[in-house]
Amino acid sequence: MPYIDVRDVCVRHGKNETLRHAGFEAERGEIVSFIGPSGSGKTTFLRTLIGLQPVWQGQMGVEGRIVDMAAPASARILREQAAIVFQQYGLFGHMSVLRNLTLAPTVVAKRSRRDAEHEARALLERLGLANKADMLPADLSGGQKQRVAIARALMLRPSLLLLDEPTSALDPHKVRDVGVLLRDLAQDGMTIVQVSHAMNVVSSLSDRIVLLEDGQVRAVGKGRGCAAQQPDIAAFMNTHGGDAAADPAGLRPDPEH
Amino acid sequence: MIAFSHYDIALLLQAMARTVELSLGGGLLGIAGAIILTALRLSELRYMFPLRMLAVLYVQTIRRIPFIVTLYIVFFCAGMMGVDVSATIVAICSIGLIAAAYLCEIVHGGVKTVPVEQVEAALVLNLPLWARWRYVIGPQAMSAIVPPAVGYLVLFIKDTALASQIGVVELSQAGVILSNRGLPSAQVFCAVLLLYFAISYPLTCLSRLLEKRIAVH
Repeated sequence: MPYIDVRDVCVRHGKNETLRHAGFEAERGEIVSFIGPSGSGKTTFLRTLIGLQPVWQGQMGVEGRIVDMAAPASARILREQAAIVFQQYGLFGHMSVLRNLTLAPTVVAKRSRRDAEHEARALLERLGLANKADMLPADLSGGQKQRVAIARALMLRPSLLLLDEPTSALDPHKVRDVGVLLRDLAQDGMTIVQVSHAMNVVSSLSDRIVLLEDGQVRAVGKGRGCAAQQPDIAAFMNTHGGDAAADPAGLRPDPEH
Repeated sequence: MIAFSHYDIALLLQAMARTVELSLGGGLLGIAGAIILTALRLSELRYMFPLRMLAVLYVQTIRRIPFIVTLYIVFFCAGMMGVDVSATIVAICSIGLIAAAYLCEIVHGGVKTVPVEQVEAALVLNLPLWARWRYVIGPQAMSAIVPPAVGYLVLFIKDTALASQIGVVELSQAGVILSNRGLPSAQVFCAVLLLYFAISYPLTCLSRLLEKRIAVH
């Protein structure tokens, strides 16, 4: 049984179906990328996984626990197992970096502030942000904001980390840093789902690629290097500014590794 | 120069107290009303739709009616329904009704300045409704609400002068009374001016203080 098993997700806006019976599977510690043309439903699909997008029907299994995504109570359950990093990060502008990280653990999980701050500082240190704990989000660069947003998501200890366009707002040389970070997290057992337009990042990072078209899953590529092997995915990537076989960031580990 | 008698000064101070009463009572009613109206306008529940529309209709209507008309409507409605209350209470209620509509626009606008990603971030962090308002939306909306709200309330202190039209002896009416008694009008109204200033200036200072505190947060 796959670690994450999403099935039959349908989203309707009136008569429009923006997502039609979409689904995917992922093993623990995999990085899954959603790709596809604009308006194909990638971001909508990602948002359904954390209950930000109401669905008509659909179910999600995590470690064998099945959640009916259409049930009103599902949002809370989905949010207990997943965390999301928004494209614009959504950091709370009036709070220090540290407070951004400790707010949910102290208010929702009722952990002591001291305990949460201890963990937050350790996490910031791991992400190279140790000296930024007391700064406001506005004083950080784009890449730093993103790492804070990732740290905030990790404080929830999610089984599933979702990222919406994690590299779109970054300088090219920062893209590699994010890739390394995501790869590290995945190696620690975090399952990651990202929506991306950056085909280089997709081809070098993904363990699984889901090609969406018109609200449907058109093709799924599995395993490292799948971008080049699955013909539909390779064709899409080659026409969207990326070489399916490329690994410019040098992120893909050796197959023997 | 004719000096004011003790009686004249007492009348002025009493009238000033009345003006403060009208401003404070109307302002507090207005703030409470604005919060309720904003909550209605922001509610997303389907069955709240009629109330939501009613709130929008109320805000849009009141803002288009001259203050004095609202005052008369409340005054005559109270009379028609046989509600026996003083003109001051009628004036406070009308001021509250009007302030609620104007302040609702300010509060609603302030809440809308909080970036939608932050609201969604609070949502996916599983923060309950009260915590989203207490920690995320409230503090950031406040910095967009306080300056225009205080600006509005300062403007609105002088509008309480219209309450004289239904017989409330407030500050400007006291000026009229004194000048009709034969006191020199220029001096009387200069005194009235100073007293209006004395009421509204502290509010401006309070606003500055609040803005600083919010900024520090």
